Amino acid sequence: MILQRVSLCNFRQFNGTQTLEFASGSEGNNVTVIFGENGRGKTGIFRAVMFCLFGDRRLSQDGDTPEHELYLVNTSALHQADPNTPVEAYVQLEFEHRGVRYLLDRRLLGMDDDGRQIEQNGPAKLTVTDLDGNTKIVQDPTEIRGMVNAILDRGVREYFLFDGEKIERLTRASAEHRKEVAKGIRSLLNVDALETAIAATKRLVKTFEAELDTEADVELRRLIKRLQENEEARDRTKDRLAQLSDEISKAVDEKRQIDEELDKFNEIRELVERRNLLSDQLRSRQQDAGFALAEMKQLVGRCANLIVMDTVDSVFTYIDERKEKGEIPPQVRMDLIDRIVADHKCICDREVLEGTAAYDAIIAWRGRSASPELERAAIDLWSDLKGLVSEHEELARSATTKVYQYANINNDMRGITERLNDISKQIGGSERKDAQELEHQRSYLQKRLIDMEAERQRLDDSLRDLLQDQQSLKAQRKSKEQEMMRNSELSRRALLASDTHEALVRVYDSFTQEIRERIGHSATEIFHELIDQEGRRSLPRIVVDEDYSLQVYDRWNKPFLANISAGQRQVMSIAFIAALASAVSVHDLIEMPLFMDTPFGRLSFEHRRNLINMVPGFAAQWILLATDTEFRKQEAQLLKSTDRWGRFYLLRADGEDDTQIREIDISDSLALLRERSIADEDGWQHQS
Amino acid sequence: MPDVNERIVQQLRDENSEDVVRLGVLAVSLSESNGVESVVEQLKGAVREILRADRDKE
Repeated sequence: MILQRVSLCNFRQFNGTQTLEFASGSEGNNVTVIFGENGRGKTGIFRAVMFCLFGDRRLSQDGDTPEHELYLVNTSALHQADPNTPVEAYVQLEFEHRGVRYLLDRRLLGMDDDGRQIEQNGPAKLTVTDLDGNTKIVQDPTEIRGMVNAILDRGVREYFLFDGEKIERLTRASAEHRKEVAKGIRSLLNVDALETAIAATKRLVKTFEAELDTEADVELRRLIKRLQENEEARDRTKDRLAQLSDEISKAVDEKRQIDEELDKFNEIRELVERRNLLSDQLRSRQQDAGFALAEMKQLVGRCANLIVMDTVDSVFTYIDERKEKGEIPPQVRMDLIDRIVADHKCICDREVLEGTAAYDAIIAWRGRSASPELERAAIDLWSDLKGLVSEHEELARSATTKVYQYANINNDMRGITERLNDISKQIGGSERKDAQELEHQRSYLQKRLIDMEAERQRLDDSLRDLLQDQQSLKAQRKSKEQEMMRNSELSRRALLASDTHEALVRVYDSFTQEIRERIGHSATEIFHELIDQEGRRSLPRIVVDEDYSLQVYDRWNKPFLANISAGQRQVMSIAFIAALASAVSVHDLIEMPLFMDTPFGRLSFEHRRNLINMVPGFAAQWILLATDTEFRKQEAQLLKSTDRWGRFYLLRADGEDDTQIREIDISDSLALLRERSIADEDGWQHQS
Repeated sequence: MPDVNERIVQQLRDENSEDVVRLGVLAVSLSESNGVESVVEQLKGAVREILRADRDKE
């Protein structure tokens, strides 16, 4: 998508009709700068583009301002009009996407009603001219919405058209916002057909299963029911995990804000730093404890034998001694004794009569012999016990090691927690009452975070167990169905539908994972080109999570997002946008415009310089809405040196609520701009 | 960016039976321009067709 021209009529600060053409990449010029002081209408132009494309009256930067207090129709035009006569305002936006040209016209009416401004949305019209020059006019709002969303999904609009100072909130998005963004990204990735196919095959499986239920035997019904219960349990667990993840990120955010507040108290700054260090150590030990516990869980099954090891030892010793003495197997077999007793004759042909000492001795032997089955059982038991006895020492040793290791980790954690409590008391004990209150809140949040992390770990374990159960149930069901399949058409249908559904889910998972990894990798590369040297060293990796939220890792591979500065967040968000856009673009160049309101507000000069040098190279179009405090001679000179700067507009006040757009020749721009002063440097550094 | 449809077909082929590939590719292709309900209805017929063809082959 390339924006070509926007015309505004009676919209926000722009009285009458005014037009602005964007540098659209011809002759390599793809950067437009719209320059004006605060209140001149830069955000009005941004708002006009959002209103025209999506019908948005409200921007995220409007916060909690009620919608009826946001006026889009120019108030001067209303005052100039006859009383009680509506004034029409409109925005026309011309843009191109993959060779097709679009002209979108969206209107609204405003009226002054006894000093109260009332507004009503009007019609929209989209004119589309295809590659062959054929023109089509669309007036149905739903169809227009669908066509615009197909080019730039509403869910990700703020990734490309954004307020630079607010862009860092992409890294702090709520669960609801992340869901919307994830939906938009999936739509950009063109996987919605695959998602529909997955939903459809899932429904197909359910339909066939319901039919199959009428002819299934008890066993198959039981398996199907258990699988359904398993699925419900997994859904519940996943929902809770998503909710938990949102609660955790909110708590982390809140804690970070409290830390920032606490950081302001100089007298406790050192303590806060020590506490942060200890908190990191505690988190790391918690992870170690989790791993140790998992290893212990794996040993539990094998260690069950250790409980009865004394009995095993004594039984083994008893049989082994008997074996050594030759009693097992006995030296004289029972059937031989029976024959001697029956024949009254020994194997040496001597007579053995009842009542003689020889007869009594033979009868005594008989008492000591066992049946052949018992002998075999004793030998088998000896052999099994021998295996157990030989491994039990090793097993006992490794179980003991693990228990000690776990106990040590717990001791460490207790020690760290005690030290943390001491430091918290010292911080809370300072004379500053507000610090104490913050400290209470922080302790509460810290405890909640630990509880929530523990719950998350439990739920992760439980989800893993449920998945294992599901695999086993599926295998049982498959085998049962295959057994039935020979004479059941319904079973064959259910099996084919189920196999297809699972295959599509596998394709989806691996595809989206691959894309996430690619975006993460690319975001890291871009981030490292944009960020300063210290940032490159301390933040080596950006990762895109399953819900498309962002995380950055420090050089010890620990999540570090909560601790980076607002400027770093802004650069990271821009890197993510660039990576995302390049992942969905056909060519290397990002196909979306980057439309940035207040782009440099929080950035240091080094970051500004990197952005100015880099962005025109990877974005198809860059539109900057800048104030005189962020776009000065130095930035303008840098931008000129890229040979990408195509158009420069100045927004000038021409009376109250009346701004005129004037195009300025770029070669004359430097004369208009201010030098950067030392004070500005300090200001930038403070802000960044 | 890899072509999604090409990728789906390729991975389905790599890992699954011919019947699963046929049904999977059809499901995705129908989903390009239909809602879930409509895709389900059309897939029901396709499943019967695929199984009938299998029986005829046998």
